[in-house]
Amino acid sequence: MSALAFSRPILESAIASRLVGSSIWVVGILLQSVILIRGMVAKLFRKYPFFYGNITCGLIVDVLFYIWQPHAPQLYATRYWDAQFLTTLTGCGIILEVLRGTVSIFFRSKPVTNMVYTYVVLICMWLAVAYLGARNSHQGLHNIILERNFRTAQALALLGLAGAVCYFRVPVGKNLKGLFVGYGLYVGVSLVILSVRFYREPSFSSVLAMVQPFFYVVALLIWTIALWTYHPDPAPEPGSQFVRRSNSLKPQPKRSNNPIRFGFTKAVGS
Amino acid sequence: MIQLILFLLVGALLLLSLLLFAGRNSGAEGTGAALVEAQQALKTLQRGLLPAPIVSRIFAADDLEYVRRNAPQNIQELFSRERRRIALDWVRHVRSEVIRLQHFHRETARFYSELKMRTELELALNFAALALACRALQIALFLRGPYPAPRIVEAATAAAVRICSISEISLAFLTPPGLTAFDKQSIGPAA
Repeated sequence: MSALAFSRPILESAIASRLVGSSIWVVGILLQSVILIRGMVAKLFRKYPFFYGNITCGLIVDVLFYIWQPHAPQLYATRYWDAQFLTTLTGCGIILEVLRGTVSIFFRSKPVTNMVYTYVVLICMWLAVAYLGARNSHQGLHNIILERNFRTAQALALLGLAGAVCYFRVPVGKNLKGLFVGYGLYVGVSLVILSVRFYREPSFSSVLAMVQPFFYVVALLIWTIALWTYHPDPAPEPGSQFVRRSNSLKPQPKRSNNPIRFGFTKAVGS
Repeated sequence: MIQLILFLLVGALLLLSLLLFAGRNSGAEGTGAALVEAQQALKTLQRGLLPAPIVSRIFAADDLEYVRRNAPQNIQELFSRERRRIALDWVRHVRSEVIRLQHFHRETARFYSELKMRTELELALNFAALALACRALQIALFLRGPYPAPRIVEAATAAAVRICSISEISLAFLTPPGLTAFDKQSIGPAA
């Protein structure tokens, strides 16, 4: 998710596109810096380490590419996909942050949480293997397919997460909501753009190529607002009858550990 | 092209789910209000809406026969309109109370350490089927008057009764002893 860098150096584009592209890039770098500074001031680094790791990685990559672009276009072209791969991979940290704040805390079922974590780890491993396996080929189209497929896997993970959170009415704080919405927006738009791009390459419009970085800036804006200060996630009240009653059942035998679900399970015949 | 449509569909679904996610209320959970609300919904269903005499009275064709035999045309029409209104209100109330129970169930399900995807999916389908039956009944009542489909009425009532008895077990399990006394005092006669 380097996101701000363009797959082709924008200096090769028309003046208007170059101007818009540069503006997106600069605004994005500024927003990334603001997010990091606010993270330090509001002491959010410890709360969301994966997210800030991703932003730090993105900022380094984006600044480097911004500097390289006019001076070393060859280096830019060869290293673009490496940077894109690295930032896409660290982008999974944002999904992990949302998982940590929702599934791990609010679901007591170990198999469910384990399944979700395994899925995220597997898609990251798959991306790493698929990218490194074909790294020497350096074919733009192959990398577009790879990124599109990876975005699809991420989109499915986010869809499942959103479904579970909405269905089970899991309370989500402002910080996590912002993380989820910002990243989801970027992944969704990226998926659409990459899918269209795969069919239109090499005649893909330079204006459309700016949509993905533009929405990354929108995501950064959402994160800047959502993570301006720390908003603790709603946690189960210590005295809540749900928690107290379910905790009181822990030492009991397996069968009697099920009264909430036993009736429902029996009703559906499983 | 099909491949492109599938990818676009996933992207569109994700963007749509973000709207739902962003728009939802993220209030704190575990309050006693949720439990009391579920208890009220259960009592409204068990005492007010689902008892067999009430259901059979609302949907009994005997009254219609009597009115047809003894009353003029305008009274018959008035009777039909009123009976349909009552039946529609009954279905609407059953549906909304079942949805309240379902909301409560969803919130508590997360605390269950042996949550299973398959069971949850089946449960969701059961609740959805009941909600759908209620909706179908509403449409039938609206289109065909107060006595459209006794089988749908029976099926919806039976499913609602089953859900009530299951919810009763869950609620009895989750209600702390102190809240039982409160419950007896605060919940008046069922609607």
